[in-house]
Amino acid sequence: MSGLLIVGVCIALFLIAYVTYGSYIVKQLDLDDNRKTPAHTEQDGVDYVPTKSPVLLGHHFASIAGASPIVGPITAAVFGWIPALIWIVLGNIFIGAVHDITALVASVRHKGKSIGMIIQDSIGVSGKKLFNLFAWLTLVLIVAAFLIITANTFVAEPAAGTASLLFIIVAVLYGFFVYRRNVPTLPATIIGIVALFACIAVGLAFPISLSQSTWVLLMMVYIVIASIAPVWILLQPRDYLNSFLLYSLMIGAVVGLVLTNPTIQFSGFSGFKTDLGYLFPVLFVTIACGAVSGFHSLVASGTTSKQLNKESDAKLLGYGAMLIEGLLAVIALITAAMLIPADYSNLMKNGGPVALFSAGVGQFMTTLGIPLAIGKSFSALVVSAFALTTLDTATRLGRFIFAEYFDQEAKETGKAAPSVLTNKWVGTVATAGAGGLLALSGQWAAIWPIFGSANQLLGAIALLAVSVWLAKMGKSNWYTKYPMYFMFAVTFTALVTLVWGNLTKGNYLISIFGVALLILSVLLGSLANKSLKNIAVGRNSGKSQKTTA
Amino acid sequence: MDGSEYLTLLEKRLGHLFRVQRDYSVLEELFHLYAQCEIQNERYFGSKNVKLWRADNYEYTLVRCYEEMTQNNLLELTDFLKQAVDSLVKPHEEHMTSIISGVIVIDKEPTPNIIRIVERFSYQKAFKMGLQGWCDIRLILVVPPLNQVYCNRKAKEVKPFYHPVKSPKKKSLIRKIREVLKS
Repeated sequence: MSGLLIVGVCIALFLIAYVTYGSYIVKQLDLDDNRKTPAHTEQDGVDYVPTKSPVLLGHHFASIAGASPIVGPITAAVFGWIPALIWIVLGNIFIGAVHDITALVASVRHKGKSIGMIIQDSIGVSGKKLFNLFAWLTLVLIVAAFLIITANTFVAEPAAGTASLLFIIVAVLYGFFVYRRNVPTLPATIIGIVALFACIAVGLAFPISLSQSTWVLLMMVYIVIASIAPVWILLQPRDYLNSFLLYSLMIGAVVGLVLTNPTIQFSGFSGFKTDLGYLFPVLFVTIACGAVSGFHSLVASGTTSKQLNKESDAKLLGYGAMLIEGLLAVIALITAAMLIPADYSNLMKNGGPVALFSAGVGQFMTTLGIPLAIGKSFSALVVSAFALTTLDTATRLGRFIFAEYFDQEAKETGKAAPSVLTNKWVGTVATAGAGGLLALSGQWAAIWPIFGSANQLLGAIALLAVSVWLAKMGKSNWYTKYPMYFMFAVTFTALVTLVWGNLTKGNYLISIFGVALLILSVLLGSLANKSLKNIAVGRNSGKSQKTTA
Repeated sequence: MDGSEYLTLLEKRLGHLFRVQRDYSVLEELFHLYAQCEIQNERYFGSKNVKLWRADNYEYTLVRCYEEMTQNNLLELTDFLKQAVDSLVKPHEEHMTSIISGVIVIDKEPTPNIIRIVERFSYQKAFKMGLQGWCDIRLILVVPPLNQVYCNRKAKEVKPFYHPVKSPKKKSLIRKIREVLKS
């Protein structure tokens, strides 16, 4: 079967869903452009700023998309491309996109409050502490998974390893010359882009071959420095140059895909049980960001809701952006599905999903006259660059949560928090160290589904909050309630089976993480459910008293 | 336009983003106009309470009118601006940049030597090897009656702002294309 045909069918299905089910959800949510959004009512020129929908779409999409929609589908292809594709399409249309738009609209109707804030207000201090612990453990899992994925990529593509190291130097030099030496942005950008491609050439000429553990240790040092160093030294110039890499990759991959028209060679269905575990629930937690992701509710309600110009824009930003990410997941799946199973297994064992994706995109690019080695190295550099961004962002967040946890403790006891625990170096080293320790176990395939479960638990909690809000409004909520039940069932089953599976394999460290997440999520879920129900009951009794009076 | 009118104009222009004060003393040196601006850039995640990073930028503008600009006057001022760095700039972990702009307003055309000194002036100081940011000095010489502005390299980015009479904005390529398409 033609890969291009699958992409075409998926685009058609997503478009149909957008104009039918998407419109139905919009109708249920009663979007009304006459109702002013927080971007207008709370406008402060800083956070609350009315923004045109195409601009906001770009910002929102850049925030929700990362390496996860690529890694998940490629990993889940082990079950066969058909179940993975069905989950991406149906998950997007009926759960992921619904989750994103409802979280966005709920936040808009709560003056731009984030879902986290809404839940936090409802479940109090103990809930907040549990949520902090839950979030920190999830971040450690993200650090661990991305450390291994990136290290495996560099082991499989040593040229990309060299290029990535050189890219860091180029970014620092770019920042120095633009900020400190006042070199105008345009010529500096052109030189920067040329230098990026030079990095790939140097990488191909002088590939650095190191072991996976050495790369993990090197990257641990990198993320500690990148998370603590002032942003203008590395992060800002690197993210700016990264965007050009991403545009080049997207153009090259899409044009190459159309010209290549790859044939699907992978098995459609490999069975209900694979090395990853049982299809239910593992498939549904392995493909998280490509189908449904709790992280999106944080973005939708955290920043996007404050910039929404009019309520009807929520359809494009909530429902539409998720479908676009679904399309990215489909393309990632195609790069795996065009391989024969033996090649897939070989690439997954020797490099992992990013290396496989790079090989696939590199193959597409050969139709544009770009040699395979350069295309592969370039793709690996781009995805690794984004994985590194994810790593230092996760570490910064981990540091923040670590310090906040002890600050909160101090507030409760009335004593000052020990400065050592709120020190930024301690929080950073604790987060990167815990992630690194887990990564050195080398079990990324075991870590990824646990991270996916944690991410989707967050999605289930967001759906719970939205369902209660809709019920309180006296509106129908079946389209959020049933996906919520499904997501809770998937994630709890996944955590239980994953913990059991890892215990029997002797992966005790990963099991401890899984158990901790499971306990925390049960406590958090029950607290949130109880509190939100209480609010609903309180409001209802208040309403009935009023009516009686 | 004379120096006094120019000060009024500059006060109005700076007032949009700066806190502006007339006849203000810095380190016991009187300036006809003093303006200060603080910009905080932040990236946060989900909630505004969860800050991933912060970068602070400060700008101080010191304007002084002279009847005539001599080489001695100019060197005194540049030395003062360098001294002012230590008292005005307070580097900290989130400090990215501080810019001190020394603006000289004169009514007579400056000598080529003065123009040369202004244009060649350069000063930058890094704090803790740049980890706590850095400070630049801009030097700008304005002759309002002649609508002339001379500046050092660092000040080129703000040169149009200090022109007594601003030249009309150049039309962007996109705007030109739009106009052609409309016509």
